[in-house]
Amino acid sequence: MMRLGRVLVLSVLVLTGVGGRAYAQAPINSNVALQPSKDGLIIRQQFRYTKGEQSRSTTNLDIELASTDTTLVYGVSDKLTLILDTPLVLSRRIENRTTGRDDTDSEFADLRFLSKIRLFRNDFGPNDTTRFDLIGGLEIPTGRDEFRSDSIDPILGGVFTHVEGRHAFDADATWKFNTGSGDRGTDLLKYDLAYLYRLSPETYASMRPTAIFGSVELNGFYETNNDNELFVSPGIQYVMTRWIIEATVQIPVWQDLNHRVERDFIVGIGFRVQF
Amino acid sequence: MKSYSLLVPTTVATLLAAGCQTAPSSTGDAQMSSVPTPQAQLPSPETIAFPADRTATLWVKGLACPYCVHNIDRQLAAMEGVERVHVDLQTGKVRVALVAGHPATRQQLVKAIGDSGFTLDRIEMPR
Repeated sequence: MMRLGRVLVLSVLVLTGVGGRAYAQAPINSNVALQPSKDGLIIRQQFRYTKGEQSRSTTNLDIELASTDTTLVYGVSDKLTLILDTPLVLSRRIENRTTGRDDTDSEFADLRFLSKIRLFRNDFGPNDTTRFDLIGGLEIPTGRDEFRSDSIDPILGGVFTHVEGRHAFDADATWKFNTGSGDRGTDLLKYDLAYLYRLSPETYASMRPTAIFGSVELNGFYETNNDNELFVSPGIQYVMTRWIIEATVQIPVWQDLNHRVERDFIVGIGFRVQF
Repeated sequence: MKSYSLLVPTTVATLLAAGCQTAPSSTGDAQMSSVPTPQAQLPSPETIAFPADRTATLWVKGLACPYCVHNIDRQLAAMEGVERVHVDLQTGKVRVALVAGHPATRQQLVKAIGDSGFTLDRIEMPR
């Protein structure tokens, strides 16, 4: 039971984590090659509810998990951003029809320290830009019990963003080099494609501009144990000059999993505020 | 007494003229709108906030969404020599009212836009 919980929790936290997606005109579940200004600080808080199951010949499990993810993003310069990602499992429930129920109280999971370095920027209009950032960092085994990996794992990747008027496209990929051993030693490729459209307004107001963005994302996962998972994730964001409120649903469209549970859906809500 | 003798007819004439100009006409308000009102002759709040003789105008590119406005605003507003900032997100036009007597320099404004992570297209300093 413990291993199943750990695997589910780690996979969910991977889904919510890598890359520090805290800037705006930024998709909810993917990365973006936009950064805060020098000395700018962004705090992002996300709450997620995950429903999953495992139906095999020997086990039938229903799994629910509530988690929250606090992300701090600090702009060291206009080209370098530091990110601290702190996942917290609020509650985890595994219902086994044979052995009964197993609940867990809130626990911290592994921290992630990441950085984004801008390698390319072409601002070609008032609301138009193309950018590419390098992502690098570490996942540190600071979690407790089942919410902890047993190794310090480097993360490396890149993210591309193109914003043109009311449209935005993002593509990213990150690779987590798992330096652990045994069943905990699988590397993880996370890849995302995202499209955002500014639903409103058609033209920004001169004073106190706000916007509503609709988004659709593809969020993929590949582990070197040959587990594959792909989600389609519609979302909506209300963006102000300092605040963003957002919501998303993630629905699996492809699952080829032999080592962990299948997630039925994930609901996420959250906000971001910048100082 | 000499001054009063001049003041009274002048005042009466002014009041009469004003009365003629603002009297409602049979054609309605459309005619009134073509007549300058006392309010129209006053400087607008915008002109007061950004006086031409000490307002720099910057054109910035790459503002992806409303969040970017705050990035520019906080960089510029934190500078000494800057009184207030207005960012027009749609056009990328940034107006910066400079402090009279010790205004921020062109170089400081350019650096602030650079630190905010956007591209400065051009800048016009007050004459």
